[in-house]
Amino acid sequence: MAQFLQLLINGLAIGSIYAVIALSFEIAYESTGVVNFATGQLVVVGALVGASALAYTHAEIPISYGYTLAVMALVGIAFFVSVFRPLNGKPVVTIVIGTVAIGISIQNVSQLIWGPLPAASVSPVGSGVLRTMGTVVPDHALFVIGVTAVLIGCVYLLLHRSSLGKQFRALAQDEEAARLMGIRVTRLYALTWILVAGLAGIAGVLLSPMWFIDVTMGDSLALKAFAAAIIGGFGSIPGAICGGVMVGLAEILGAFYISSTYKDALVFLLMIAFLLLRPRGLFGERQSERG
Amino acid sequence: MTSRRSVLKGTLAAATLTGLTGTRIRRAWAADEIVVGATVPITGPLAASGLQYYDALQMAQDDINAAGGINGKKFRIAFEDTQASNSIAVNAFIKLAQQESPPFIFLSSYTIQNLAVEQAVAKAGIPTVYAGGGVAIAAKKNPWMFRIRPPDNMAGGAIGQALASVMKARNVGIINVQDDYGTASGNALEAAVKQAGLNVVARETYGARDNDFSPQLLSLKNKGAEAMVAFSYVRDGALLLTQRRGLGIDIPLLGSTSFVVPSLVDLVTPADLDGAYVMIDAMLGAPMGSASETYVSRFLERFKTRADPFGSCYYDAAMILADALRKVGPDREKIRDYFAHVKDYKGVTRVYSTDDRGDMAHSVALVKFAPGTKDISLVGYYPPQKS
Repeated sequence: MAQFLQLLINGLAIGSIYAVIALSFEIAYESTGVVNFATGQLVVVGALVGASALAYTHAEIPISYGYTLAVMALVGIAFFVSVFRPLNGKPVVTIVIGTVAIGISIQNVSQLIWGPLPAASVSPVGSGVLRTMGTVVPDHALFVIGVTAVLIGCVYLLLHRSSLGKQFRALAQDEEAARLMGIRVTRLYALTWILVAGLAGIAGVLLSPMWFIDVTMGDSLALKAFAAAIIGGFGSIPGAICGGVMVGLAEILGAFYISSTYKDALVFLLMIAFLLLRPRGLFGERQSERG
Repeated sequence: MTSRRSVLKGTLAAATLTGLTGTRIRRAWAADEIVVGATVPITGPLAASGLQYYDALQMAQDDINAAGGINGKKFRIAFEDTQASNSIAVNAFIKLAQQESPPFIFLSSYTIQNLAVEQAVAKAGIPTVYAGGGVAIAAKKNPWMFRIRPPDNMAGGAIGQALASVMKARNVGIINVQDDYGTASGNALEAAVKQAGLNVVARETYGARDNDFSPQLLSLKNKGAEAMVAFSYVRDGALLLTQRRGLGIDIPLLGSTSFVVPSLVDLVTPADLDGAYVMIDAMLGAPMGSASETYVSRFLERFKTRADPFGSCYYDAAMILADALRKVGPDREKIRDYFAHVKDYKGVTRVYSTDDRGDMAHSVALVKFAPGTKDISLVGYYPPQKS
């Protein structure tokens, strides 16, 4: 029982990170129609900027995290100006290739700046552990679960309980109609990309004390988050949460109770099963329900 | 008719290529410098150890030139990045072979890349040294490839002995990365452990990009492992160490050589290394004599990182190559024969002798991290060294 509880908490912590990355995916897709294949690289940039800031400020958490968010906001604006605007309105394939290309570019630039060696970071709650009921839970794992819960709550309130959120959703449904209603579409798109990069950056900051960061880890993270988004249903915040947690748990419990050899295969089998049996995922809307 | 024409075309192309290659080699020799090649993972996740031999080869190049070069000519190493990709490793080799037409090429230390490039080496007929430990490479019996690190099955046999005699473990758990290196090493170890009269109670694997090892570590603990053996790379090895401590698992861990690579040691805390043993290629520094001690201190001074046996064996190979070029010139077959007959060459890492499989290194060493520190101390050599 203790072992199961241990695995459950680890799975929840990992799933929380996948959920935040999936949320970044979903907001980009829902608001701009772009499936952002550079999400993984944005996560890595957030992790590296956060780790550098912590090292530079001698682990001054508020300054480092504030700095990281500011940098990620700038990265979001740069993404909007240099990637989204030129690609907006282009065929889907062009956009897909565009985001893949920018992901590769971000990875290469990151390598030039930070080098190829893996780096470590520190947690704001230290490296202690909580021993309870036969389990050993790292304090940071609990921090990740808590921050993710708060973050998802904030994003939900932003999108569903604020005027800005209404504008986001209006834009997602029909750009032309939103423009005619007086919504400043360009500004809103820029805000969307700031939010997308910010969420990716937060995911990076959360994962960096758990796993060492290297510039090439983005793709594997993005693939898991993509699976989470599909399982949860594209365009749904509860879907991102459930999808992320399901992927995290499938990974951890599957590796322990079935086989560690097929750890990744189990996750992607789950995703394929959803694509075949329930293509809109757990919470995704039917195509006909979209505005 | 068509096939005869094809044969003629092929022969003409081969003759032209051979002629050009020969001309290029002669030109390279006649020029002011001797250029050899090196394919090294300088970027990507494999760079964590690749940079060690990138630095070591640069140091060797400078030392060879400081000692008068090759019979008065400057010695230069042309580098190509293999990244973490087999196909890029093959392209890097072919590019060097075609553009520089060197008399010799250093290959990377990764079994998967060495295996990928093996056919191209045979086709090009260029003598090479490599450092991948996989038994599958030497099994190809490619006469142009010489291994300057001990093969993994030697480490496997030594680990089996160390588990029984030093760590006093009867029930062993194995965890390895899922690729040619990890799987072959795990298989070799399983056989060696059984041969040593011990039990393998669990075998766990993981993908090279995995981040969480709690299921594997808990499974090994659950199945009663008294010691665990890991075959991993740098980042995953560091994660294994930190997560082992994070989960409160105090089972001793015996790791492969990558566990002493500075870029791994820098990532973990002394507490993570508590109870960790490593089967390394060789113990650098004082145990190997003053030349090794000097190498270690010069390397640290120049590159601001500790020297490890991955890099130092390439330094040794470059020194053997320099001797070969001085004595037999740039002729590829003569250099190959020179390497095939190396006997009792004392480098900064070890003593090298080439056997009929092209293996030049024939011992490994068990080290242990001193409690509360990142310092290693020698436990013993396998097979024991003659004093």
